[in-house]
Parts: sequence; C-alpha cells; structure tokens
Amino acid sequence: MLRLPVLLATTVALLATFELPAQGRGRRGQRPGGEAPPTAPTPEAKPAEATDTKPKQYLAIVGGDVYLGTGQRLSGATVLLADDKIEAVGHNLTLPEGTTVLDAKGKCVSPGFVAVQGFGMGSGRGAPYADSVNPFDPEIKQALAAGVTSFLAGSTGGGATPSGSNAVIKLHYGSVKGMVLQEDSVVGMSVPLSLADREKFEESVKKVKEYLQAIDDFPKKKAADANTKEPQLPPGSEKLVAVLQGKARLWVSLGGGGFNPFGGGRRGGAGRANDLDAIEQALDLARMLGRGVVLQKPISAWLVPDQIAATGSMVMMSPRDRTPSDPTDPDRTGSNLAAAALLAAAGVPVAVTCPGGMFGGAGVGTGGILGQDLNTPHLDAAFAVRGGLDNRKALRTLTLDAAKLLGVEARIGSLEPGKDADVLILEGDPLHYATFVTTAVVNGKVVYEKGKEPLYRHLAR
Amino acid sequence: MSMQHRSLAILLTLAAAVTAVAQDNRPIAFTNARLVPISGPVIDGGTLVVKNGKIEAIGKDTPVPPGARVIDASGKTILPGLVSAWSRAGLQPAQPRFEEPAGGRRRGGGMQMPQMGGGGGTQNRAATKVVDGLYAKQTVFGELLRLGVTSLALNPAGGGFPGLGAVLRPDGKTIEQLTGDDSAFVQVGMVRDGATKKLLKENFDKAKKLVEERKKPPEQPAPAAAAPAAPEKPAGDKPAEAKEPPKGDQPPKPEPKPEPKPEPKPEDKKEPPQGQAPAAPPAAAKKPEAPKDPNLEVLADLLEGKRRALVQIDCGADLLHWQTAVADDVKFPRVVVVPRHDNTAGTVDAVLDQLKAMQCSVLLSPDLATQPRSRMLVHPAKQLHDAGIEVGFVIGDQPQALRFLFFRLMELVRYGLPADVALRGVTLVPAKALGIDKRTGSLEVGKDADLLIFQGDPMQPTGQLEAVWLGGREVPQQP
Amino acid sequence: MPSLPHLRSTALLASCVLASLSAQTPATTTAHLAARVLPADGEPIDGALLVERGGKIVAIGPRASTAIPAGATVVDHGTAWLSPGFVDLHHHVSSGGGGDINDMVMPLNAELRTLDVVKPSEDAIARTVAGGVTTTLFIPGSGTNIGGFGVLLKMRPNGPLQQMVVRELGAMKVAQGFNPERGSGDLGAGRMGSSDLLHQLLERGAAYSKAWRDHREHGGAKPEFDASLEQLARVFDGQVPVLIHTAGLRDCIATARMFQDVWKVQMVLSHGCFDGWLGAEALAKRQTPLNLGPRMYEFDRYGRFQGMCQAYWDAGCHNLSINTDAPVVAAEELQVQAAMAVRLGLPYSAALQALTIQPARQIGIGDRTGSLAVGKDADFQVTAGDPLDPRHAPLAVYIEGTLVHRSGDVR
Repeated sequence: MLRLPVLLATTVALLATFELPAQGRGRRGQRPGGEAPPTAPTPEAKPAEATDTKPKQYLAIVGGDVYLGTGQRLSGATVLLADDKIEAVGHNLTLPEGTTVLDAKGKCVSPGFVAVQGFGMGSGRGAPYADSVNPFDPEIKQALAAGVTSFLAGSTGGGATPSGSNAVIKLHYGSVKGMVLQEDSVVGMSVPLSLADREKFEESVKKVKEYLQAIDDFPKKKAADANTKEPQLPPGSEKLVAVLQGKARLWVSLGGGGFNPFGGGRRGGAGRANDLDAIEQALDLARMLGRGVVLQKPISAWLVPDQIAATGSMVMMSPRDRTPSDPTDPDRTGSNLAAAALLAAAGVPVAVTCPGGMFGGAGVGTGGILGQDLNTPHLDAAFAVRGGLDNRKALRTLTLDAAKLLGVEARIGSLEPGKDADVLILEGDPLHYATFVTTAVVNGKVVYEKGKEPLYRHLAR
Repeated sequence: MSMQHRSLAILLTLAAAVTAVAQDNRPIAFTNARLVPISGPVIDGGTLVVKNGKIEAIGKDTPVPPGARVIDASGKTILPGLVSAWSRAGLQPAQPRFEEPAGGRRRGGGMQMPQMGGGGGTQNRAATKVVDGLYAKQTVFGELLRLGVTSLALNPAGGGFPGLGAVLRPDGKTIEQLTGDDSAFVQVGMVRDGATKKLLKENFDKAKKLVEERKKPPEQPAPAAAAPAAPEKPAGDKPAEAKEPPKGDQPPKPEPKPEPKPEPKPEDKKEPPQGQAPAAPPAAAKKPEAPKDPNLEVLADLLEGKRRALVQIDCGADLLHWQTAVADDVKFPRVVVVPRHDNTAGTVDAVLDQLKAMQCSVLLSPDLATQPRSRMLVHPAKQLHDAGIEVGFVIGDQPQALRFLFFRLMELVRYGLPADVALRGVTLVPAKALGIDKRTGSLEVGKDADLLIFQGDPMQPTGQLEAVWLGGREVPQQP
Repeated sequence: MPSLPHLRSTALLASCVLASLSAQTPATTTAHLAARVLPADGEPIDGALLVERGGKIVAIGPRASTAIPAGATVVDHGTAWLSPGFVDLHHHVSSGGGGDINDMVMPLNAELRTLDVVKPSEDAIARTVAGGVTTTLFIPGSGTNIGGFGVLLKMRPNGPLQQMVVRELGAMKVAQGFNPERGSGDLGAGRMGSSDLLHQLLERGAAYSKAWRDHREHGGAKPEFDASLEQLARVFDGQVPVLIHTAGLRDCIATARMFQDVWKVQMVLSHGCFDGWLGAEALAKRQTPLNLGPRMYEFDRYGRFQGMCQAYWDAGCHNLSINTDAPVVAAEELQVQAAMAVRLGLPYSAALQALTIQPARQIGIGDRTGSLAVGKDADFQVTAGDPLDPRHAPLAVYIEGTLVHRSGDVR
C-alpha cells in the first residue's frame, strides 16, 4: 500500500524528455504547417500576414499571481500580450503605449486549460474542421467559463494501424479563423495487438523509417545521379509517417480502461482489474517507434511509472476513475488515486480528463450534475492533488502537460513569450472548488467575462 | 366533353375577356384612403388612381379622372402587395391538407421556413432553373395571393450554386403563366462544410478568369484560351436543358430554350456582350470552340453585374465561413437571406460589422430571436437597422404563418423597430432583392397596381385585410 | 416475506453484541490534538482538543482550556483539521456497487428492507468511508412508489453488520415522480394512480398503527397481526421517518402536502431537483426537511447555472442536507457535492452542516452524531484542511472512536 509521504518524498524534476516536434516551433508569420485548412490560404489571409505594417495591439494582465503552467508561479506579475501571442511575462515590464490593461490584483492568472478530450463546443462536423467550426456555439462560452480554451475534438481512432480524425480546437468565440490550431495532431491505435498485427506494424514502421531516411538522403543522391528516383511513400502509411516525423502523437487505447463503479459505471461480469499487459504492449510500440506514446486511461500505470518514463510516453487519465483491486492480488491490481502523483514524480507527463461516471463525459452539460464534466475541469486536477500531486504542479495536468499529449506544447499550455495568448484570470487558486474564471482571453482577444455572461454572473463574490 | 359544357366554357371565357377589357379600359379611383406608399410619407384621405393595371396617380388631392370607377376607401388603408423573396411553393406535388410539408422543420413558435436541402453542394448548378421543377395547379399560390403575396420568388435549395431562382406571378394557372421571370436571380447557399466552401471558392475563381477572358478581344487569344479550357471542363456538367423535371406535361413552348439569354434586366444596357456570352448554342455553332459551361457563364454574368444573387446563410457562423471561402474582391449584386434564426451558431446580429462590410440588404425571419439556451429575446432586425443595414423579411410560403405576419411585424415594432421599416421590409426591400422594384413593392406612379386594402390599420390588431389587388384587378376571395 | 420474528431477532442480536462488546473492552480514553476543529454546530476551534472515551466525545475545546485526562492516549494530528464524519441520506451502493435495490413486481413494497442485502465486505463501503462519510441511509431504488425501508448504517468496512446498523428501519423510501410510474398498464401509470395507491396503503398503515397503539394504551381486544403492515406502522408510530424521492415543482409541493399536511409523518424530501426550487417558499413555510442532490443546479430559462441549494437556502429552507444518490455521484464524493453547492452560492457553514448535523437531525440521530459535541459519538475525520475541498482526502476517519480508515487504505 502506498502512502502519501512516500509520494512526496520521491518528487523528481518534472521535465519530460520529449522532443518538441519540429513543426511546432511556430512564431508569428511562421505558423505550423498543419494549421492552414486544406482549402488553401484564403486571399484575405495574405494581407493579414504582412503584420509588420499594422501596429500591434497590446493587452496586459497586471498584478495577478501568475501560474506559468510549467509548475512555477510569479506573484504580482504582468502578462503582456501582443496581438495573438504572449510578448512577455514578468515583473516590472514596461508596457508599450496604448496597451489595454486588465487589472488582476488579488486574482490568479493561468494559461488557458487544455482539455485532452472533448466534443461539441463549436468543433463542427468533422474534417476539414476549419470549414465547419461554429464560433458562436453557446457551449464555447460555457467551456470558457470553465477555463477551457483548447480541446481535442474528433476521434482518436483505434485498431491495429494508426487512424483517427481530429483537431485541436481553440475556443476563439466569434472567429472562424482562430479556431483550428491543428488537425490530426493525434492518431490512435489500440492494443492488445495480435502477433500477426504486431509483426505487420513492425514491418510498416521499418518501411516508413527507411522511407524517411531515403527522403533525407535524396538531395545528395540526386546531385550524384540525376536519374535517382524520388522515394515513394509506402501506401497507406500517412498517419505513421506523421507519427515518426513527430507531427502527430500516437495515442494508444488499452482496450478498456478504468471506470468508477461507484460513480455510475456498471461492474459487468469479469471486469479487468489490471491492464499491465496492455501497457507493456503500448510501451513496446513506443520502443519500436523510438517515440513516446500516450496511454489512454490506464488502470495500472501507477505500477510501472519508470518504464513509462523510459520510453518518453505520457498518460491521459481521470484520477477519479476507480477500478477495485482483485482481492486475490491486491497489490498488483486496481487503480490508484496516487497514480498521477506517482507518474509525475517519475517524469511522465500526465493530463487529466473527466471521469467516466454516469454523468461524466468531456462535454459541457446542462443536465444538473456538477463536477463530473468539462464544466469543472479543475476538479479533475484537484483529485490529482488529492492523490498527492503538488498543487502547483497539478495545474500542469490541465495546461502544459495536456498540450504535450496533444503535440501542441509549442503553441499552448504555458505563459511563455511566443506562445499563443490564451490566458485566464481567475478569482483565486485555479484548483479551488469555488474559483470561477473572471476573464478568458483566447488568441489575444477577451472572449469571456463572467460579469457579462448570464452563466455565473449572479454568483458575485 | 358534351356540347353544353363546351359552350358554357366558351361563354365563361368570353365573359372573362369582356370583364378584363372593361377593367383595363376604365380607370379606378380609390378615394378617401389612407395610403401607405412605402416609398414616401403616408397620405391620409388620399386618392389612388389605377389604369391599365398600373398606378396612374397617387396623392392627397389627386383628381378622380372622368369616367373612373370610384371606390370609396374611407377607413381603409392601402399598402403595396407583399413580396416573398423566399419560397419553395409548388416544388413538391400537392400534399393533403394539414400535413406537415416535407422538408419543413417546425421550430418552436417561429414561422415555418423552407430549409436548405440536406448538406452542402458539390456541383455548380448555377444555370439550372428552379422553375423546371415547378408543379402547377397547386392551390398554394392562390392561397398566398389571397393573403396578400402579390409577388413571390421561387428559390432553388442547397449549398453552393443550386440554380437560378424565379419570380412567380401567383395568379398563374399554368407553369408559363406562373413564371414571371425564370432567371431572376442566382441562388447561392452557404453551408458550413469543406465541400461547399471549396465549390464556392473554385467556381468564383473560375468565373473571375472567365470575366477576364471575356474582356479580351475575341479573335486572337480565343483559340489559345480555348485549348487549355477544353480538358479542364468536363462536359459531364449538365446544362440546365438536359435536366427534365419530373413533370407529366412537356413544356409546350420552346420558351426555356434560349436559356440564360432572356434577361429582362432593365438596368443592363450592355445587350451585345451579354447576348453573346451566355448564349451557348449560337457560340458553339460559330466556331469549333470548347463547349461553354453555362453554369460558369451565369457566375461570370453575376460578377459582371448582369445578374443578381440571393446569398443564403443560416447564422452568423455561416457568414464568417463565407468570408474565409469567398475573397473580398468577389463582388456582385447580392442580398443576404437568413430564413431562420439559428442561435446555436450566432443570430446575425453577432456579425453586424461583417454584414455592414458586405454593403447589401439583409432579409431576416420576421421573428424575434432568443439568446442561446435561454428565453431572453434578441431583436436582430432592430440591431441591423440601427447599424444602418437595410432590413427586409423572409415571409416565406406557408399560408398558416402568413396569416400571422402582421402580428409578427407588430411585435417587432413593439420591441423597437420603426413601423415603416417593418412594412418596407415586406414590400420594397424584398422587391429590390428580386429586381422587381421597378414594377412593384411600393405605391408609385407607373408601378403595377398590386394593392392590399385593409379595413383599419394593418399595424393594429383590429386591422383586417379586406381585398388584394393584383395588376389592377381584385383577386376574388373565394378561389 | 417479511418475517418480523427474524427482524426482531436481528435487533436482539445486535443489541446483545453491542452490549457484550462494550462490556468486554474497557473504555480507553484518547485525546486528539488538531490545529482546528469544525464542530459543525458551533464556531471553529483553533488549537483544539477532542477527548473520546468508549466511542463518545467526553470533552472538546481549545487546548488551553481543556485538560487531557490522565492516562489518555494522545494522538497529535499536527496541522490537520477535525470535522464530523459526513452523513449521506441517499445512498444505494452498500449491497454491491449499486445493484439489488429495486423489487419491481408490486408498486408498493412497504414490507421490504435493505437490511437484508447489506454486504459489509463491499468495496463501496470502504470507499465511502474513505471519503469521510461515516453514516449512510442505504435505501432501495425509486423503481416503485414504496421501495422498502432503508437501513441506517455506520460505514465500518467489513462490518460486522451488527456494529454497522444504527437503525434497522432507517427510513421508508417513497418515490414520487420521474421513476416509479409503472408502464405495465395497471393503476399507477401516472401520478394520479400512484398517489391513490399510496394513500390507500398509508390509510391502512395509519389504521393499523392506531389499532395497536389503542390496544397498548387502553387494552381491549388484540388487533390482528399483519406482517405486511408491521414496518409501515413504525412510520405512524413516529419511530421511522419517510424519505421521499421527488423532484420538480409540482411533485415537491404535492409531496410536502401529502406527508406533512395530510399524513403528518416525519419526512425528508430527497432530490428536490429540476425546477423544484421554484416551490421553495411553500416548502420553507412548512419547514420541510430537504435532502438535495445529486443535481446541484438547474440551467434555467435565463441561461444561468441556478444553484439549487442556494435557491432553497435563500428562500428560507434552512433544514437542508446534501446527498450523492450514489452511484449517481460516487459515494466518496459527497464532499464534492457540497463543494459544488458552495461554488453555486450556498454559504460555507450551511454546506458543512448539510453534510453533518442537518442530515443527522433529519433522520433522527442528531443527538448521536453529525456534530462534534460532548456526549455524541466520536465520528470524525482528519483532513489536511477544509474538509469540503476535494484536494483533501481524509487522512483518517474514526467511527465511535475507532480508526476505520487511514489514508492509503483504499487506493
């Protein structure tokens, strides 16, 4: 049995060993390639690109306790935004002339929350997402009120080969252009794989690696011999190429996952109390790829945090999903409230999501049950704290680590210069149950103010 | 069949002809009327003179012409006839009464409006004529007319370019009589999906190129330009003629043949280029050129300002998507139509600035909307009007809903829309949208005598529509 | 079949065991030191001392003014807080994760009781107490108008059952609206029929209770024994309250009218959800005991998250407790329910009381548990801070002075 003191003692630097995907280093004028909708840049986009001619619009959030999303906090600091990017964060910043100032004294400032699962909230009717997003979906306001500024919409796929169709949606209310951060930054597979499927996959990985190598070598060979043929993409391997190029994260479904039998899940028949085999298979894929994968809602990850960390893999989970242990093997079965803390201590990025109970689900409901869906994402992080994760670090499960799981950490997830200007002003500690978002900024625009929307305006504190 | 019947029919026809002649010749003067011309201030105790189906004179002290049939309109208000710029009436076989019309979703409390066809468009069908799908001999036109709709559009449905819309004469009995103008406007439908946006973008791009080509001198570059155009153009894109509607009777006249040519656009004086460009059959006969795509020709006409368009959006989100799909420099005569308030994707007051930038009128549902997920009312019409955008209303094609039209207008007025704006929005504004404002939509000399005669004030609950006049003739209240 | 002899023998057995237990173990004294104590029905005490002997609280107060009895074992909880164990009056999962709580053949099942299906080794019990919940009313489901009688339990993981049972007939569970309407085509398909059936049975129960009371008090002929009414009679004897599943404006008012105005029995209105809060003033006038949840808000016509507890509270319904309806909300997350009520506007002290002294009083054990006061059961939890904050899992939970849960016991 694990005890909290043990967890706290094993705190380790949380820096993940993850490479940033090469395409993710987008700054102004150099957006990641995946962001543009496949319909090609619209003619209007061109003048917009020439931003140098247009004076920047500055917005400063001043005087708040600033949680950077990396686990650090600066008291009474300023976050300066220029257009849709973060310009600077710190004390004693000189504000450019004409800066709009939002006073955050006595309040907290945080990166916008990143939900690693979601549906609705204006995400439209599937790919291409940029062509069907609904920037006026009332659910957007509801999600912003909960602090969510980005989420993964669509399917993360499954099966024996990488699949899925999804997009990281930004809740830029009222703007079509700012809503799709990236399409298909996540692809999915499921384990367990049959031996034959595993071999097939291994073969595909080999082929794609050869192909990528051939592409690297091609210019040289072409120079040497003009007749060299251009390498051909192995058929049907686009998704795998994206994974191996670091353009997409591979999410692995473990064939079931935890649930909370006391939160509404039915315990039907022989529920599994342990998914170590599936986790091992997923890590096997990670080793094959030479890249970390994302474990979706594992039950037993807490038993093998170091193995997960060694492959650079990450975990998506709800700390509130519970699987009872099997009385015949209590120490190796069942879920663990301390999982998030144990994994984080081993250096595994952990993102929290909503519990899978009767009223759980990664949408913003209006059905009356509060505390299980995306109306209160901070509670899921709070439960990670309940399991022993440090309060400040727990915010990473909703911000930087969540962005890492989606492969978009170069754009969102922390308050660092050059990143997207997605910022929350909160009434207090972001993970306190009674804290509300007072202001949400997405892409540098104020898109939610508690005092101006009917949702929680009547709850003045 | 029988001799008696035949002679009776002849007699009736003769009688009708006689009365028609009699009415045409003899002026009619409505006196002591409260006249609401729409185009000018209200005239109390005025006189309106109708001759040969047209408005001959209107004014406070207009003299009654000698020999005129005088109708004392004391206590009555005269308005121009209603113009419905949005209808799908007659595009389905007649339905049993009281049955929900297919394709019409009922929305709580609101007017029932025709919906766009399922999903977006994948094909440019801009030259397809909606009248080709019309079923005649339907009671709906007469019903609409008796409720005051003296002009109505017939709109093709669907995303992208679903075809050419028509203006109908609601007293027509046959397709020919019904069809006032079979290519009055280009219907454009904005649907939020990749296929529709691609279709819009690609076809406007092609149409832009075609406009450039048309500007070139016809001789030299023609063969060069034709060569690459040929493979690019799949001939499978069916021109409208090829598509026969599922009608029992074949079009008895060769009228639909010269398809996009008969442009009764009074504004356009550029007859020669227009006649040349869209006339596909003669052009093909002239040279062994690649066949022209009539659909693109229609769009090119549009971009050259020779045609007008109704652009349908369902919500604010659609307009933002329109702007990402259609370049700002794609400009053409247009009116934005929003047949229903979709508050889950932004009622159009959410995109006031963008609408303003489009510099066109907007036709809206004549209802108040509600804020998302609540019953708090919003008033898009007033907001648009206050922002300086000309507002009209989509009065639709549902007789049930039209019976309550003036109550809806009164409600809009109660919540702050000026009454004259409300009335203009169901007459002159939609008339302009359809390009028929030269002949109807207001009480002005020279326009058709399409009149609504109310006992009392139409904008009071006690006001009652007593008579409808179409082209100077009273519409019988019993069919 | 309801076998009263069996019921009585269980009760007898329980009291025997309890008696023998207390006889066997000599009363030890334990002094608990904590940075703060929230007694729930009084002001917080900082630097506090709570003294427990034989399962009861014998002293509580600031350390400065409260003496540690000689020979007492001292447990220093350091910077932690002590607060009462929580009480959940709407709990369904002590029989095996949510099953076996609806018997759907008959519309009225006043002869049934959940005592017969409690499973002390059930994981849910250990998890419930891990959430600081020490007392639950384990009730039948709402599949029928009367589901049976719920048993009132102290949540001692693994029992024994005799030590868990506070009252075998904790409350009669009635369901009014939203679930029990029957689809079989017989009477009770709608609310009119359900009400009629209920009234008929209550009539019989009241008459039966009165006949026996008259017999006990005035002698005379012994009434005929009717096993099917024995449990119901306890309601009319004033020994057992009725807990009514009901929600929505119409049914909330109708319920209060039926049970408070007409039948004048002790009742607790449970759920009260949807637009039930619109009837708050009428309920406040009757001082109707409310047990609210699992829904915590109504998304109202103005597009607001209308906090339900706050709406009742503001209208004067201060006899108010909060439930989980576990498994709808996990039994261990009762704390979250109160936290959400606070988020949506319920005053903090009211929320804390809604998990402690209020439900204890509503179910008739307010003199025994639900707050930390001298003479009461030493049912309390130790938390790192605010007991309503989901970030704080109980570090330890005591029932009648016995440590029943330590952090880490349940993963």
